[in-house]
Amino acid sequence: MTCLPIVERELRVASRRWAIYWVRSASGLVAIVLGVFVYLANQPAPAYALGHDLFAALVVLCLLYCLFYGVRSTADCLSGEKREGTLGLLFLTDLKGYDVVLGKMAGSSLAGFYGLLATFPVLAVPLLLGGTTQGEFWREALVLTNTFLLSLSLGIFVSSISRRPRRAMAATFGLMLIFTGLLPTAAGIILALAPTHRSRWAEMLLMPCPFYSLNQAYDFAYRRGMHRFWLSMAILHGLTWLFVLLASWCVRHAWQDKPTENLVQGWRAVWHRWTYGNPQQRQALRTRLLELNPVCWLAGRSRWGPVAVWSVLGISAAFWGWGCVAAGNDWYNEGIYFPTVILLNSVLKLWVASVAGRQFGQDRKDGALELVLGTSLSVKAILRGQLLALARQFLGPLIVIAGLHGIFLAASLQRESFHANPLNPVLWMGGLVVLVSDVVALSWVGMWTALLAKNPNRVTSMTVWRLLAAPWLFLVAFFVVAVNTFPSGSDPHWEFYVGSWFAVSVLTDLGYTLGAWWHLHHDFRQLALQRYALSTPLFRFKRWFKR
Amino acid sequence: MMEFKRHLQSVVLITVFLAAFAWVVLRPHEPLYQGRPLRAWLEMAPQNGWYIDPGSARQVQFGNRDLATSLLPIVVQLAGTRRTVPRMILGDMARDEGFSFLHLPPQNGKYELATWVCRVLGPEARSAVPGLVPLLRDKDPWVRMEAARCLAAIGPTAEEAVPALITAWAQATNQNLWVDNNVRAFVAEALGEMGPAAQAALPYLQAETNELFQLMVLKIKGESFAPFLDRLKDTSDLRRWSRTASVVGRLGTNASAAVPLFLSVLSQTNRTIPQSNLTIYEQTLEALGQIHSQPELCVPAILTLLGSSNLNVRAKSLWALRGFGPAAKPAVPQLVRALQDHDHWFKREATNTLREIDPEAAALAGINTNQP
Repeated sequence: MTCLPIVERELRVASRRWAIYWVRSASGLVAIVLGVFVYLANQPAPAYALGHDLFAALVVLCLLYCLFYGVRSTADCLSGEKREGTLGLLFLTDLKGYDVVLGKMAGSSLAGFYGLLATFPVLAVPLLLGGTTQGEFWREALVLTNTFLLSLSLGIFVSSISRRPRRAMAATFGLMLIFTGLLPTAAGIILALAPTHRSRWAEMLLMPCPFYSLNQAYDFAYRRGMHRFWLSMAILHGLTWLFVLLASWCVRHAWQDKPTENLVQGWRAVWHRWTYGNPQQRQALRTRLLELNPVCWLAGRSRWGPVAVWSVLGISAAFWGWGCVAAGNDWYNEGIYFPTVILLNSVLKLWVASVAGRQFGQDRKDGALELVLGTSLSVKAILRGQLLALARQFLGPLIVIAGLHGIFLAASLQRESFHANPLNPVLWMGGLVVLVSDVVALSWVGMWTALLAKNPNRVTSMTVWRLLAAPWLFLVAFFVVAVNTFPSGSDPHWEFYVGSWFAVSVLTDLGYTLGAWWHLHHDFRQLALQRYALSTPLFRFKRWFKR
Repeated sequence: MMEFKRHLQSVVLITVFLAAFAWVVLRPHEPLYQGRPLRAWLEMAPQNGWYIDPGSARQVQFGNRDLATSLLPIVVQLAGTRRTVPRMILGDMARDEGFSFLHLPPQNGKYELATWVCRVLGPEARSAVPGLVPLLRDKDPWVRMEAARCLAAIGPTAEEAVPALITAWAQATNQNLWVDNNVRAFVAEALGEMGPAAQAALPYLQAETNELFQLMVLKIKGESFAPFLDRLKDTSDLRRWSRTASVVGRLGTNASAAVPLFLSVLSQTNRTIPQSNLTIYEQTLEALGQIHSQPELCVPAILTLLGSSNLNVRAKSLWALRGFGPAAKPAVPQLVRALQDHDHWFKREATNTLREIDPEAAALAGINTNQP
């Protein structure tokens, strides 16, 4: 008799995936590259200080990897099976809940676990530099492994009670945030309010936080009280098993389709009516949008889209109003203007990235895109419709945020000091151009990525990575190298940093937009129907190359 | 047509919103005087002399009476600034040169500015009193203290604040809390400055044994301070002597009769005071700076301690010299030497002192006299 048969089967399948090899090679390589940058960024410093900084930076990055890997790999593994109706089949056999849960955990985490293991040799390099001790290394390795398991168990627990992928991801992320953000914040507040700035309760709240374990693993904290480290580890590990047990119990009881309760049905009807309007309103909107473009109607039926964006802007405006009243004249300076604009820009860009490819990705998965392509609509008209839907949702907010850039630019020109140092006006003008170019690029690249991505849930992350995250990582690396190659005493001025940021942002946007525009106009049909194409190695290579 | 109307509505709404926001951000946020915001004038004022005689300071800084009176709402605003954690962080960032491009409003010195303006304007700042009185009930004790300090600086013309001061005193009841003790100290000083108008506060003050409160009782009654000065002659109890010195220093120029007593401490001839007790020196230096009388005698005596090996004593010497303002010009050569001190903080203090005592000498020493 095989013990844990699903685990064995999933491990066998996982071990044959090409990702197993790529992920561990890539993790090791990324750790080496990051290590080199941390090393360069801390030059010149004594070897032990370099070793310590290198170790600290790599450990934090590995911890973030461990935290997010669970969200990514396990949050949708059981809910996906539920949606496809395959989970129930497993329970027709003698399998228990824990068989399925542990099997899914093992199968979906193998690549990630190998990736984590691949970073350990790089983590050990500071041992040679003298910046860390063996005890610290092994304790941190234990923290990382423990956190990895906790992250997986959190993901699988949420997946066992969820059905929709986005909700599962969001709930896992939220649950993770409770342990990594909410509890430490609560502890911080208690410590700040306590007269002696010490509290047992605060310490207890910190125990389930992986960052706390990470900190307690260092010698300076471990020697002061090793019980804190081991207690924190025990709590994290206990939580891991608790979530696994809960998932094992829930998965047996949550896979069946259950009739919706009247109350829930009622709420759904209200939500549906609120989102799409009553029949008359739906008819009016359909008539209006169909005149413009049928795809625009398809992508822009929900009234919630534009309302949500305007609501966020309204809330931001209300917060600003409160700040003006509460802080008085201290409110009107770049210390407020810059965060306001950065926050609004980020929200708008992420929102555009998430909406731009959603319709195409979902339609492609459901086969609805084939139906659309089977009509007399040209590719140009389909793309125009999607862009019109995006414009309907985001053009107004984009104009408002661009207007804020203009107003803050005018405010910076009001200061006498701008003649001597035009940094702020340049930043506002550059920010305005980058905002517009980013939004345009995100719209095009989002649509293009939706046609390429295997999983429609990853369209947003792929788009954001290409246009927002990767350029910034490149910039940081470039700045580190540049600062270290400049002769000492002649550090680069702000013109260098701002110029590099502007050039990299605009060139990335331009390159990706042109590429996406070209492929969407010339390969749309081929990309939309590729899931039916023969999956030959040559085709896979071509697809990879297009990515 | 409907579509056009809809777009037009959106354009109008967005335009109106942006126009309103532009007005909020771009309008002058405080009255202008000669093209500059009043706060800019206010921040420049102390650079031209914190310690010069209030009478002449008024001529120099606030020659225009309209400017002086229009500053008062800002003074109330400054005094009402609460010391919150975000403000403290903001203040730290504002001091950091790396964040200068953010033009963050400095948070340090707001209270000092408010007090300074009140002191310079004196009775002319009376119109600020209605604004300061509600601040005595503020939940932030620092605001209450500052309001009391400003009222003390305005003097007897702020007598309408006496009932509010008494209430503030009565509410700061927890003597174990240093905050309450400080509020009571500042309120007592303000009551003392009100003179006979604060008769109603006498029962409260007389019930206390603290030297400061006893002194304020004398001030309110209009009686002589001589018995108080006599206490300085008794050095048998150093802690008591130190407390008395601190209180006498608060009398300012009114305590000029005590200068010889303090100088005798500095001359180290009084063998009853142990040489090792540096707190005595520190207290004496502070009192001399506050009294700032007879500079021809005091400045040379203070200078003997400017070269002390103890950092605190050196710093107190600097602050004492600052108290004399331009009258401490004979100290300039030694102050220039102090610019080479090995302690960074002391060097910064010496720079500020030299700038305030003799801007020309400071410029010659390579100090930028336009920036604090």
